[in-house]
Amino acid sequence: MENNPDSSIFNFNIDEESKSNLSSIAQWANINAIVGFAGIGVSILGFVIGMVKINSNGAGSSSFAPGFFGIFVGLILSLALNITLIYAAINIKKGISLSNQPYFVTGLTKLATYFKIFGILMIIALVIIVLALLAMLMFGWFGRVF
Amino acid sequence: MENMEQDHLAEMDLQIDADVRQQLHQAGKWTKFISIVMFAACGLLLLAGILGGAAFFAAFRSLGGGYSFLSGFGGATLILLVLIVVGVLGLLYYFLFNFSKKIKTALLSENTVDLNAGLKSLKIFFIITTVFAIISLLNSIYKLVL
Repeated sequence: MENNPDSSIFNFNIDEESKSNLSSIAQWANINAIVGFAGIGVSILGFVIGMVKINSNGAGSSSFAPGFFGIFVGLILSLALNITLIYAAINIKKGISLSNQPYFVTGLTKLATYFKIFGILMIIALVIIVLALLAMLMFGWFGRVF
Repeated sequence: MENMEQDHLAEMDLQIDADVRQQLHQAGKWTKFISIVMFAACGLLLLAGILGGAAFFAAFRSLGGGYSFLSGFGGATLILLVLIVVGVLGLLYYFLFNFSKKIKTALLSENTVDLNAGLKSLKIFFIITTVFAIISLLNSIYKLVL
């Protein structure tokens, strides 16, 4: 039977090296999230500029509907990830600087949530890839039959 | 008396309590999943690069026009490119995998040395992803401006 790492009733203190590592993690996670937000802004700007160019070329608004949907989904997912990461960074930083356990726990909860969202998105991407491969195989097979 | 004061100070400091333990365990579980999926993706990319590389360049060369610059690339160049991408991705997710492994060991053995090693790996993971995010953002801005 495997031991459950979160079942121990004993607490152990976080030493100065752990605090320093956690501070660095919070700092880099913060920068990462800010860069992510900037990336979202640049993507929206790029999309708007692209739309204006397409419109000026006389294409109808329905021609970029799939692109708009893709950008919208990507934007929401990216926002969710970066908001979770920035909350994690802020709370971990506060927890360490104030030696405040609740802030620290909230920060780690958000960090775990960040990786959970990341993992779930990965599962969704895997499912889509497998479905696409299956569809390609099926169409290839039907193409040969008919 | 001195012992009581030290105990009180230890209680005031940040601790790996049941909540922190649970969140670290969750983070470790998801990071393990993410890194294993990424290792598998790296393996597939390597396989696709080696097996399908020549066909890939032949297809692009046949398109001509803007893709004609690809005609200068050979199979060896593609393999080198794929090796670099796989190497960087593999190294990046090795740090995430190391975080999950060390955190699990740290929680089981209540060992701060393993905890620090895990946190250090996570720090390196965030540093590398942030650097890549900045490069990607600068590239997007450059494309937008041009």
